[in-house]
Amino acid sequence: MLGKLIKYEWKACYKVLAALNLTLVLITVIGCLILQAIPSTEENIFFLAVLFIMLSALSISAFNLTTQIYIYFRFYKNLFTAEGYLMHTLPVTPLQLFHSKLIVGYFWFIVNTLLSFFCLAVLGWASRIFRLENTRTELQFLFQYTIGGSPGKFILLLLAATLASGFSSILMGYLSILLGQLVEKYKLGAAIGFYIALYLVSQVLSSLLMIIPTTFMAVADDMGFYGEFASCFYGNLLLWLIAAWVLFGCAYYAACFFLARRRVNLD
Amino acid sequence: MILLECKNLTKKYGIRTALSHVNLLIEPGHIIGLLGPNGSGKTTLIKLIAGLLAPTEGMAYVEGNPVGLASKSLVSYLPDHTYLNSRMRVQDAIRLFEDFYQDFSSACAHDMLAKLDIDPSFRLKSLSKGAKEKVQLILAMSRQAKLYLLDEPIAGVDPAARDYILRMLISNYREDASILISTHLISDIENILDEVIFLQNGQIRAFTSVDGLRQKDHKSIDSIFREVFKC
Repeated sequence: MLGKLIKYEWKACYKVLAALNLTLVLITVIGCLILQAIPSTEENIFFLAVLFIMLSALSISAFNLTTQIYIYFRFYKNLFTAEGYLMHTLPVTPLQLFHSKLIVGYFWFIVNTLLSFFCLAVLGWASRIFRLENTRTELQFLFQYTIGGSPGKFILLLLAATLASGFSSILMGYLSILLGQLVEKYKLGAAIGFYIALYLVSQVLSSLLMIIPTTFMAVADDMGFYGEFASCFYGNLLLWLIAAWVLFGCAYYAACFFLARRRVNLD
Repeated sequence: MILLECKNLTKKYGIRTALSHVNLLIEPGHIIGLLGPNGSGKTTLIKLIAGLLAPTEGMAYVEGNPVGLASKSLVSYLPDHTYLNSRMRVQDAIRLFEDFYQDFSSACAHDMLAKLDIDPSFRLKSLSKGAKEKVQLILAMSRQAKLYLLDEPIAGVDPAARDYILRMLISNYREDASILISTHLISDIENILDEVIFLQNGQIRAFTSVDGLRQKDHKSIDSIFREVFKC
């Protein structure tokens, strides 16, 4: 039954989400064409590249946010509004309903995030900024100094961070909606309130976790190993952040698992 | 054999009691009218049996199974509003029911759609409110379920279609199944009913056979309802 639920969930949302991702690609292609059309003198390249990449990053973030909101909206609409009358009377368990939404939502979230990174990289390439010899050397130095490795290591860390943050973000939204259902009235408003509260708590806890690698750094500095630790400080920071997202994701999943098993109350 | 059993079924919304300590036994092979004024608890009772509401107290059982996964495959539920995704085509909805319910007959659904002149290739959003209700009723009645829970099944359809729907309900009648119909259109439906449940203020005021009630009072169920629940 889970397979069938995933099939129908996929069919219900692929058009909207595919359209969003295609728009992202279209914006990138247009951006590339504009960047290619600009004459490449060293003076204007940096200015235009920075401006364009900033603008693109903003629009790509907006698309990322839209995808995230759509995934939450779909979860809420399909399970807790009129459509829920059909879903909750199908001969399936509440957990199968929840997992079908989680699998499809997570898949689209990851696709969208990776596509966003890819679009940004393509725009960066199109700006010709990376083709300048001194920029490339500076970037290699930056990667070596900040994460203690090559751009390849950075991409791997970014991929892991995407998977972990996607897991945590999707579940945080679902958990907020499920918590909202516990409230007698204004369930949607309560869900938004719970989301804000969970977001704030997760930010505070993440910041506290960031103290650990910073403390290591300070201790290393005292012991005279500053150079070794400093070279991979940001890489370590990202690793701790990934660990935090996985931890939060697991906690959210456990809470969702408990709440999704409860009998619904479709008023 | 008992098809539906409600034991002390209670539902409260905050301080308001929508349904209070309802005890009910329904055997197979009956068409039962669930009647009562607005706010009497008809929809609440149906939703509790369908598993869309969690009871505050008590429990409902379908063929001995507490409301849950096992009971859902035995119950065919029709809500009083549109519950299908409006972007769906009618044939998509039929496919969905076919996929999830082993007792669903797609041939039966297509036959009823043809009789009610509804094109299965149409999207639900392009259909009128009445046509949407007909589609949902067809989906619910194309199952070979044990218990049909129909909440206002004919409220939004025209009188001609109403006659067809009532004939359909009778033709789908099976000795091992029962139909529980909640409606305000008593005069339209009373001829097909075997029994009636009168609900008032969340409690069962009467649960009796239609023939017995008619013989006793020499009035139609509609007239009796109007007298009992006179404002």
